[in-house]
Amino acid sequence: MNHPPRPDKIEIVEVGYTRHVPHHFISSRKSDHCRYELSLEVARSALSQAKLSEKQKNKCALLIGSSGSTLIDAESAWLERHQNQHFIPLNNPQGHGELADKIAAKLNLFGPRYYFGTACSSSSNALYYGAKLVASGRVPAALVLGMDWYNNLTVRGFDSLLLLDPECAKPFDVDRKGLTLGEGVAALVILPESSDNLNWRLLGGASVADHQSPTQTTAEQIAYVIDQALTNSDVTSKQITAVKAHGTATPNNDSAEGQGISQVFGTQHPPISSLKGAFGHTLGACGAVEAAALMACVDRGVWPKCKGLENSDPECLIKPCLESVSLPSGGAGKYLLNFFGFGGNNSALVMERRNVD
Amino acid sequence: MWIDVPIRSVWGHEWSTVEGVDPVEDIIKSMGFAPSRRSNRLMQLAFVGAHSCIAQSDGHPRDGTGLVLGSSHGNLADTVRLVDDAIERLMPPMPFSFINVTSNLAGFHVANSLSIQGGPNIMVSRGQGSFSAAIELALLEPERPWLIGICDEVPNPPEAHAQRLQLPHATRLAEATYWIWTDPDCVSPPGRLIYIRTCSNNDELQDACNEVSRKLHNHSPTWAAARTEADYSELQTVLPASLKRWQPTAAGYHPCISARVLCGFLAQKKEGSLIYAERDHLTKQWQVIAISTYPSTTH
Repeated sequence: MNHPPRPDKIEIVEVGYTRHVPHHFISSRKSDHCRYELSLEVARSALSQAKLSEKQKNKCALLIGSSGSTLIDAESAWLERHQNQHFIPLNNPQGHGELADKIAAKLNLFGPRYYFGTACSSSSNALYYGAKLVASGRVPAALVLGMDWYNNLTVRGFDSLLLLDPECAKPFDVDRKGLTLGEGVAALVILPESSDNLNWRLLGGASVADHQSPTQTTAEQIAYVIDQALTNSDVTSKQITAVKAHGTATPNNDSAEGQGISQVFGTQHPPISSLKGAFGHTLGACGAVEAAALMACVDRGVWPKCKGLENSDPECLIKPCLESVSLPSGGAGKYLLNFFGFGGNNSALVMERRNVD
Repeated sequence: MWIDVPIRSVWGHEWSTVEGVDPVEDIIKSMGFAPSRRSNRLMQLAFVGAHSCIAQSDGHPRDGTGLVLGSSHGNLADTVRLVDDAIERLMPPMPFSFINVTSNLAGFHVANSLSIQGGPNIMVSRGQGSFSAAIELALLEPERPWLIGICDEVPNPPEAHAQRLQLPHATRLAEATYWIWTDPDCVSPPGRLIYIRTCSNNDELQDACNEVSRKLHNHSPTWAAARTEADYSELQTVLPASLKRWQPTAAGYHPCISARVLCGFLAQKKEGSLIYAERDHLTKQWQVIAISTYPSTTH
């Protein structure tokens, strides 16, 4: 049997059932080995910046959030060895836990390991429970790694859901048609409250599942999880400097999220942006990727614009940023970050930047 | 870490794949439900386990109850099939059946069918230690009731799965679904989670066992169990000789052995307390969990 070549670049194709697959953020395909090495490099960099002692590192927890897990490896193996009669597909003795095993072994992390598979809120939940784990005193630090890489099954899966914009994601835009898939990795190290000289704090959050619909949450449910996150963080809506929306650019989700944010903040809301127009939707990685990216922007005194947005959809009831905003006081303030996933998995985090450097 | 978490109810079931019987759908029907049209194996296992667990108690989970599902290889059968379709036949997966979105749909369907709102729904994995991982996450919010479950399926052919699990070819495999419902407000629970600790070495393991004994005062630990024979041999060296070994019936191999041991002990209404220990396959550290069926552990 002839197999289609594995693409070096994702191209717009019309083969079989495949429709247009946006490729803005999944071009320049490198080998899977590079992806894995890149993940390790990012994790090592984060650990190095955190300046953990050997003792801390020895007991550091590892929390991985991903929706595709090792699918990228599974597909490579399939293409290379499927004709071998002894080929075992998805040959991971530890199943979903395999990814965490490999990374913990490479980084010499001996604390507890967790793989979170809650779809697009995976690494947001990893951040939320990582913070709780450190706060409980069970571990001296937690490395949270969000990662999701391009693979055929994911692209075709989202294509089959008719959720992909053939051009580019336009979050909260009146002409939005759907999401653009992205890929990426980000690592954050969570340290105890007593740690010195930290610019950022994860004040709290909430992870609340909407068990009415697996695909379409409501404005009320989104308002509820935001309320819970603010309450758990001991923060009021008026204290929020800006909101990072989940903003996938799918018609229904954006209108529900916009209306939910509006219920909490009213019409005079703080600056709001989605990063999906910039990075694409990095799926299970987006909690870590977008949190890290946002922290980098705020560190530079900038609140990023909602890329892809040209005309706000009045149905969303919010007006996200058409341009980037300069933040006063070096970005010091409290920020709300929303992340939602299939299966009604809604989460929100509250982060604070303090000027200590 | 000394804890005192009431377990309101418990249920578990496992069956061997060599028996050639696929009981899950029949069990769902016997419970008065129709299997969901789009449900996969993991969802069905979770549904059966969670509903049966709750049926052991008079009550119903209140809003705010969390749900955490551990699984080593959940969704594997579907994923193998879908990757095959995507690569070999360039076919798109059916909507909602691919792994990026299905992992927490099992928990969704459980919570939806039980009308639970306002709590988290988490899917977590740590390979063989997935049940411990699920318990650890639930303990981070001890004020909340939790449905803590573990499910693992055996995709066909079982021989290939045995190889995947690095087991001998002819190993008898089993599927499993085990659940506990923890509830801080339960007044007279049939059991309690009383201790959990990670131990770096045998000295710490001994210290953990001593700590459990001290805390139980008059109610010394009465039973011990471990994941493997090798683990049990080591555990014996640090435990009082008076402890009896707890060995629940096994239908075959599955990764949820800790759940089989702990849930089996509670389900059989054994009187006393149980210390369970297993070595993490990667770090070689011990994970110790103790449960008790004594009315109160703070004597």
